[in-house]
Formats: sequence, structure tokens, C-alpha cells
Amino acid sequence: MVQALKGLTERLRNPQFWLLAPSILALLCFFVYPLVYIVGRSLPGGSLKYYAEILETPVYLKVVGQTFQTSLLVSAICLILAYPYAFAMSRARGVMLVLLSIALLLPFWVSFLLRSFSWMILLQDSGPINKLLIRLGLITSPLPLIRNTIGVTIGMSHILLPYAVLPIYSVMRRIDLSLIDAASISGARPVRTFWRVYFPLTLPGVYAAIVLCFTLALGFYITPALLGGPRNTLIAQLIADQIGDQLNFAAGSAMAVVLLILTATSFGVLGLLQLASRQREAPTEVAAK
Amino acid sequence: MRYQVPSITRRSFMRQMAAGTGSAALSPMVAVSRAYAAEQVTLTLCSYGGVYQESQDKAYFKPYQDAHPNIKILQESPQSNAKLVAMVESGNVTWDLAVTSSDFGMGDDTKWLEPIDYSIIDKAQFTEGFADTHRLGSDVESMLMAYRKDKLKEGPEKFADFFDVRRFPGTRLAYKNVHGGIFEAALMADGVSPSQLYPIDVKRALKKLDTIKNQLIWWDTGAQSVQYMVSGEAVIGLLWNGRAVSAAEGAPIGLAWGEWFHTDAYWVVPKGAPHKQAAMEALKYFTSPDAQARFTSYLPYGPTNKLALSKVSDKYRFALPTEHEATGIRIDYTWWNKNRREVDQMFKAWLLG
Repeated sequence: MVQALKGLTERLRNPQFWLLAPSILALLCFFVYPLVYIVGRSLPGGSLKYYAEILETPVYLKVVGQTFQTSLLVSAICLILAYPYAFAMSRARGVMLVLLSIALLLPFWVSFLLRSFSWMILLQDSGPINKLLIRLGLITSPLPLIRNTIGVTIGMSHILLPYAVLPIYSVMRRIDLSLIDAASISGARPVRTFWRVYFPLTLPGVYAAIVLCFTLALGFYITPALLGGPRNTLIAQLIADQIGDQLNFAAGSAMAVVLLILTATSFGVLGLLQLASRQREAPTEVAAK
Repeated sequence: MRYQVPSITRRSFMRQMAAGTGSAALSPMVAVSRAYAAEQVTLTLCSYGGVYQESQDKAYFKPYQDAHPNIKILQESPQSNAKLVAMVESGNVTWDLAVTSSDFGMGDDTKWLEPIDYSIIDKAQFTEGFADTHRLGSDVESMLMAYRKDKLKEGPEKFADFFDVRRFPGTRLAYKNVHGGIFEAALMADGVSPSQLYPIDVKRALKKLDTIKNQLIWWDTGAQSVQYMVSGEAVIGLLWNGRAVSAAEGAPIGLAWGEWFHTDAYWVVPKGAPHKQAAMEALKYFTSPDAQARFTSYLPYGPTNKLALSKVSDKYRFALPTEHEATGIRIDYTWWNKNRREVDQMFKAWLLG
């Protein structure tokens, strides 16, 4: 205890610590205070009734499960698409790199409400994709691309893809490629080189990508509303209903807190996984060096 | 070469102090301009945004500012009841006026609102039900059936037709909101008379909805409802009449006025509004016969002021709910506000099931 206090006073004396003061103050005002306020609101008169309601209402639990399932699926798809894309970007130079970056970032600058709406037009039964396939004689009745999990997954993956590509790309950029040469000189085949040398080195980027995609996906609202069916309701839609429609701030806050706890928990689990893998990979890394 | 960090010396400090005293000498002039400014009122109001608010601007806000040079109207959007409530509860009210939907502004909600000043506004001018203690009708809107004339041999008339998949085959579209009219439509299709709708028989309504569950798609936003009708994704849709009219501009779409629901808009003054008096004066103008009649030349939303009924524009006369008043049904939002939470959970369970 005394030690900790000593550490704290030493820190306070360090001028560099004070450089952090503005950010800490901003976080306290705009993050910690509203958060405490929301937790307070979720407990009207100190009662836990809205938390109990969430646990006792099968619909709410179903929606929470749905939210996690969707977020996991979307993160997995983003990861599968982002990894090769980031690799191509990390190897590209000049015009190619610019083109790849533009293709990735241009949609990023378009409002995602607009993008979700465009997907709705493209994917609907009477939309251009289904019309074309029918005209080509490939299908006779429209493919169910919208108002189901397929629609939601397409829309959300499209929006979240840059969040997966960029962290992986930034890690790949920094990998010393002579390690790959060293591995093949030592007799490793490409597949083995990839899994034993390259992939472990990209893991920090992969983890960052998963964390970003997954946590952002948990809070999606308008995309599932436009592209999903009634079965694709996510927790953000419930929160919006509680607050915007029913004016029940306490119930909405309780749901928001539940979402926050679940997000923090998944963050924690991912962090532990990363820590474990780092400890496991450490000897390999040393050996590679 | 090194740069020196500029520091405050005693001399520079004194100089700045002297400058400060100088500006203090000018303060009487500042006070004069403030006194003049006191006559100017900046009213802040919040509405739904988009074409709706643009039309209000043309019909209400601009003419009012032109006639009253001392009044400046600051517009915000989009309005949300939650925002209004949060403002009042935190004691930081910036809106003087807000537009709101028919489900807000009566019963318990009145604790967040100022009473309408009927010593300024003539209550007798308004159609019954629009001059409430804490809200004043702005315009009459409807939720009605729109249908594709090119895809159906005959047009639907009653809500029963919405559920009749044999006579009217194809996908149907409805508002995914528990009090958006779908429960009432289902019950009326099942033979319940409008006067017997409440309390809503939830099980019966859901059972009726089961009969078209596979042909039913939902909209969450108005733009989505237009898109689904124009693209032909749905052949009959329950949508807001303003949206139905914009859909009709892009596809052969007819409106069914045989049965329809009121989904009107109201003006409210948030409790503790900074310019309450000026807000009431503005409200008197916004709901005056001329202003409301002017509004109908921009959007198909009818007047709440009886004196405006004879002055409405011909442009959207076919789509004005007030021209079809006899078949309009009022949703009982007092009942809904009491039971919404419970029924919504059942509705969501049905949707997810």
C-alpha cells in the first residue's frame, strides 16, 4: 500500500505524466461520467428489476445470443477476406498499393446508412442481382439474399472489412521478409513456412482485427434493420426501441450495460488468448531471430 | 539556432493589464447593444428534418420570420421524444418548440411539457382531438394501404384485403412497430369493429398475422417502405401517406382509403422552454388557417385547423387524410402507452419465432 502510494506520488512528480492529464480529463468527462450515469439510470431506486427482466425474458436472451452469433460470423468472414487482401497490400508497391488502398478506403468514407441502403436495393428479390441471375436462366425464383442472416452478414462485413484489413496490413508491413527466405533455405516448404513463421508474426494484427470487428459488430443497428429479417434483431435495436420508442431510459440503460459487460468480457477473453499465444510463440520468435 | 519559449515578463503583463482597462472603458457601448439585442428572440425548434421540415420552413417558419423581423428561428433535426425527455430531466432545455408523433404528449408525458396557452390560441378553430392541454395538432397524417396497380387486378379497400392472399396474391409490407397499426389492422380484418379494438386482443391479432407470416415483410424506416413499393418487392404495403405519394411518383401505385389510421403530428413546448411566450405566439401562426393551407401545397398532410379545410391546395387533395376523414380510425395511444411494453415483448417473440 505504502509502496503504491510512493509510486503514485513519484508519477505525479513526473512532468511526462501531466502530458496525459488532458486525455484523462476528457475521458473522465465524456466517458467515465456518462457511463456512471447510465449505470445509475439502469438501477431505478436501486432496483435490479430491469436486469432481472432481461434474464427472465426469453426474447431478450435470444436477441443477445443472436447478436453474439452475428458478430462472430461477421468477424470470421472479415478475417478470411482481410488476410489475403492485407497480404496483397503489404507486398504491393506504387500504383497497385494506391489502387488497393483506394478500393478499401473509398467505401469507408461513404455513410454506412447509405451503403446499407444500397445493399438493400442490390440484394432484394426484385433487385439487379436476382434479376440478372433469372435473366441468365441460372435460377428460376429469386435467391433469398435479404431479410435473413445472409443479407446482414454481407452488409456488416462490407462495412467492417477496413477495420480488419488495416491492423493486419500494418503488422504485415513490418515483417522482415528475410525470415521467410531463412525458413525456406532451412528446408521448410511454403505451407510450413507460412504456418510456423509468417502467420505467428501476423497474430498481433489478427487479434487487433478480431477485437475491432467483433466489438463494433456488437453495436450495429441500422444495417441489420435494413438487411435482416425479423429474426435478425440485434441488441442495439432493442436498446433503441426501449429509449427512442418506449421512453424507458432505465430498461434501455440496463441493456446498454449488459452489452458493455458482454463486450468487456469478450475483450478480456481475447486478451487472455493473445497473452497465451504470445507466451507459446515466444520461443519460436527467438529461434527465428 | 534555438528558439526561446516566449514568457510573460512583468512588462508585457502590465501592458496587457492596461489594454484590459481600456476595454472596460468601452463597456457602456457594449451594454447598449445588449439592450437592443434583448428585443430579438431566437426561437429554437426541432422537427423531423428532410422534406417535411423543408415544407414547414416554406409554409410556416420563413413567412413568420418575414412578418416578425425581431424573431429568428433556429431549426434542429431530427426530433426524438427521448431527446426532449432527456433535456427536461437534465434541466437543460434548449428547444422552444418541437414536433412530435401522436403517441406522445398526453397522460404521464405531460410532466415534460408546458400547457398550450389557449388564451392566445383559439381552441374552437381546431378539429376535435387536436387541441389537447399539452399539445396542439400540426397536421393530419395517415397510415394506409398502398398497392401496385400493375400487379393486382383490383385494388384493396379494407384491411381484410391485406390479409386476403387469394384475392390479392403477393408480398405484403408493414411497419415493424408494435403500435404502428398492424395489430389494429389484423383485428379489423378478423371482424373486430373499430370501436371494439381496445383492449387489443394480442393473441387473436397474432393468430391473424400468422395467416400471412410468410408473405409479410417489414419496414423500419420510411425510405425503406418507399423502396420496397417502387421496386415491386411488395404488392400491398401499409405505409405513411406521404411516403405512399412519393412511391407513387416512381411506380404505378394506388392508395386505398377504405380504412386508414391516423398518425398525426403535434406541436409541443418542452417544460422550461427558454422562450415560452414567443413559442406560443409562433404556434398561433404555425397553426393558422393560411399557414396550414399553404403546407398542403408541399406535402399531402391535412390541416388540423377547421378553417383551413376549405383552403387546402389541389395538388395533393387526392392524398390528404382530411379529405377522407369519414374512414379514418384513431389508434388509442393512451391504451398503447400503458400496455406497449408487455405487448411489444409478445410481438418480438412472435417476430423471432
